[in-house]
Amino acid sequence: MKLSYSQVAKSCLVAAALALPTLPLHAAPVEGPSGMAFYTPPATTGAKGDLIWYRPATVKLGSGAPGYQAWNLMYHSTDALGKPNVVTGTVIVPKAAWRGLGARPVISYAVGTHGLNQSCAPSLQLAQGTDYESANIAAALQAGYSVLISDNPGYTNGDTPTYLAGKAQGHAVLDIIKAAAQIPGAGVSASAKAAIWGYSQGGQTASWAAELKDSYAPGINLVGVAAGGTPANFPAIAHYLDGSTGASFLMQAIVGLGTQYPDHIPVEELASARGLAMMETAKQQCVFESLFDVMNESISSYTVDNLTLDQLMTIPPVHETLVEQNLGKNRISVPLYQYHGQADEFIPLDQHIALKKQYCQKYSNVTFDLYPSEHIVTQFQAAPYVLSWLGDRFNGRPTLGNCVTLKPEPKSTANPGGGNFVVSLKDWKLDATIGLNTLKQDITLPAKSTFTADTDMTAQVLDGTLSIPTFKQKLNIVLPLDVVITVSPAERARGTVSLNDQGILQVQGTAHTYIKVNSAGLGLLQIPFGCQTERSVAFPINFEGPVSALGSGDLTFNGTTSFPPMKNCGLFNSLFTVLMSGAGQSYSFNVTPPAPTRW
Amino acid sequence: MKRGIWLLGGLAVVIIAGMTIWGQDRETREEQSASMMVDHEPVGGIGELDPDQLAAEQLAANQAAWAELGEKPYQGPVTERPAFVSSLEWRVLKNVAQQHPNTEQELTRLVNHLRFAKQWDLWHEIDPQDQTRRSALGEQLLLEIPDRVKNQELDVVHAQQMQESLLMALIPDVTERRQRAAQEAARIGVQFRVEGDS
Repeated sequence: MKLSYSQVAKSCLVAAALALPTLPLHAAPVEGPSGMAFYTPPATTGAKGDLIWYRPATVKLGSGAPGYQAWNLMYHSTDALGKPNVVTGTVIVPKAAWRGLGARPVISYAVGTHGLNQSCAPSLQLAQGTDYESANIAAALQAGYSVLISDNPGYTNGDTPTYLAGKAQGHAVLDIIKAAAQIPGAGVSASAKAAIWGYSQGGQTASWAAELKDSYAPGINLVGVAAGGTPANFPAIAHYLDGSTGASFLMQAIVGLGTQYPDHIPVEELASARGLAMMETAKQQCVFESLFDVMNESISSYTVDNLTLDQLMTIPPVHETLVEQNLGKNRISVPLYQYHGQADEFIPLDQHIALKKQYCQKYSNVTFDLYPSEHIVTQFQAAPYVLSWLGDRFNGRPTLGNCVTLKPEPKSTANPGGGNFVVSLKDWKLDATIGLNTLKQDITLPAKSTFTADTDMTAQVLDGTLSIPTFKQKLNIVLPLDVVITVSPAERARGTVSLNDQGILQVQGTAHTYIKVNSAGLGLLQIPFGCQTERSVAFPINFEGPVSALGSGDLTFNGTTSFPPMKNCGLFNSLFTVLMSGAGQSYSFNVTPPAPTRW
Repeated sequence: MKRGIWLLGGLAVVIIAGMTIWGQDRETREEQSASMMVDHEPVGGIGELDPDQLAAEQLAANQAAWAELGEKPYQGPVTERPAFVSSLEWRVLKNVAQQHPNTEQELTRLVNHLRFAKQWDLWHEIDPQDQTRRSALGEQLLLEIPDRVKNQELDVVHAQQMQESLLMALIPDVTERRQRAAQEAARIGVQFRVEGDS
C-alpha cells in the first residue's frame, strides 16, 4: 500500500501529538524545557503573537557585539493559508540602558535563507556562534535596539520549513514583536517603536510583513521597514535561478512551497526519483552546503519526464502558487527602505525595481538604494546604511523617499549564471598602512587606492590587482622629508579562496608590489630619486572569517613581511637599504566595497 | 650622466639635511677620532660644505667600506662615527636609533647593517679580475649573512639568494659549490641535501 503524502503527514502529526507535552489551554507563558525539547510544541492553543514558552539563551555573535541578554521563545502565529502554527525564535536585548526617548526600539530581523535542516534554524545557529548573519544582528544591538529573530515557520521538531511562503514568514516576524514583549524580564515593550529589517528571503519576509501589517497586526507600532535583495516576482526569479548559480534557492523553494501548499505543488508526483533524492538531501543541508551542491542544476533534471520550468509553470495550481508569493499587491503604510546589489547573481535587480514602482504607484513612501556588489556582499555592506535609515525613523525624522527619480533605470552587472560562482570585487576601496620597522613610521596609502579582484568560489581561485596612485609621504629621517612614494603592483595578486558549508570565507594569497621612492626633498625642492626595492615585496593576503566580512568592512589582511634591499638609490643606496629593508615590516590592508547610490 | 644626476640628487638631500643639522649637534661632530673613525669633521660643519665636498664625503664613506675587510662587526656601543659612515648617514642613524628603546644596541645594529649593505654594493661594483679582494669581500659577506638574518635585516629566502649569488662567483667547481651552499644554507636554518651525500 502506498500512502499519499498527506496521509503520511497526518500519521506523523498523530504520532507527534501523542508525544507532545501538554500545557493548559491559553496558559500563561512558562519557561520552556532545555535542549531540543524546547522545539517540540506543547499541546496548547492561543492567539497569534501569544508566547507559548521561553528560556534564557546563550547566543554567540562574535567580537562586534555589545553586552546583551538573550532568550529563545516559541509563539503562536499563522501560516500562509491562515491556519494557526507555532514558530520559534530568539530575542536579544542589549545590556546597556536605552538612552533615547521612549521605550527601547525593536527590530524584528527577518533572516535570509538558512537552509531546510532544523539545525540551520537561526536560534540554533546563534547558539553555536555560526549564524552567518551575526554581523548584522550585532550591528543592530550596537545601535541600542532589541533584536527579535524569528526562525521562520517549520523549524520545530519533526517539521519542514515552509521556505519562501511569504505570508507565513510575514506573519512570523510580526507576531514575534508581540510575543517578545511577554517574556518576563526581557524589557521588550509591546508599544515600543518597531521596525522590520530583512534581506533576501528576509527581504521578502519584511516586505510581506509590511504589506500585511495593517490587516494582520494593526497594534504594532511599526515605524519603518528595510527590505533588501527582495524576491518579489516569483516566476521571474524561478527563471533566473533555474540552471544558475543560485539554483539551490529554487530547489529549496519547491520543498518549502510544496510543504505549505501540498495540494497545489504535488512534489511527489512531479519530482523524479533523482528529484526526490535531491529534496531529501536538501532537507539535511544548510544554506552554503546546498548552494554548492546543486549549483547550476536545472529543474528539468529533477522532474518526471524532465519537465522544464516553463512546462511546470503551465500547471495552473503551480503557477497560481508562485504568483501568490508575488509582492506589490498592497500599499505599505510606513516608510520603506529598499536596497539591492547591482551585481546580484541570485535575485534579479529588475524585479525589485519593478516592486519599487508598484509600491510607489500605490503612494507608498519608498527609498531605494543601489549597491555596487553582488548578493552576499550587499547583505552586509548595507547594514550601517539600513541602521542609519531606521535610526531616523525611530527618531521621528520624516522621509520623502525617492519615488520620483530622474536617473536612468540601473541595469544588472551580475556575473552570468550557469558558470562558476564568482564574487567580483570591483574597484573596492583599499585602506592600507605599511609600518616601516626600522624607521618606526607608517606609510599610509592614498585614499584613492583600490583593490579589484575576482574571487571564484567554485574554482577556489583569487585573481586581483592593486591600484595605488603615486603619493607623498612625510618620513622623519633627519628632518621631515616629503618623500614621493610609488607602491606599484609587480604582478597580479593571486591565491585561493573558498567558502565552506558554515559560511566561513578563507582567502590565502599574495600581493606583490614594488616600493619606490620617486623623489625626496622639501617642498618645491624635490630630488628625483627612482630608488626602489630590489625585488617586489610579497604581502600575504590571508583571511579566515565569516562571509559577512566581505561587506561589513571587516575584510582585512594584515601581518608582517620582509622588504628586500633597495637599488638605484645612488650614493645613498646603502642608507636606504638600512632604513627601508628587512623583515618585520607590518601591514594592514582593509578592503571595502564602493558606496551605494540612491535610485 | 646617470651618476651625475644621482650625485646632484644626493647633494641636495645632504644640503637640506645639513642646514638643519648645523648648529644642533656641534659637540657630536667634535668627538670624531680613532683609527677606524674619521680623523675630523669638515671644517665649519656640513652646512658650510659645498655640494662637491658633500658628495665627495659620501663617496669616500662608501669606499671606506673596503677598509672594513677582515674586520668583525661592531659588538658594543658605537660612540664615534666609523669612516664608512658619512656625516649625514651618522646623523640619520643616530636619529633613527633614538626611536628605539635600546638606542645604543640599535645604533650598533644599524652601523653593522650599513657596513654590510655598502659591502654588498661594492660586491656589484668590483672588477672581476681583482680576485683577491673579490674573494675576501665575498667571504666576508657570506660570513655576515647569518647575522643579518638573525637581526631580521634579511629574510631567509633573500639571504639564500645572496649566498647562491656569492658562491656562484667564488667557487667555480659545481660539486664544491653545492656542498658549500648546503653549509651556508644551514647557517641560516635552511636544510637541503646535496645529491651524492650519504
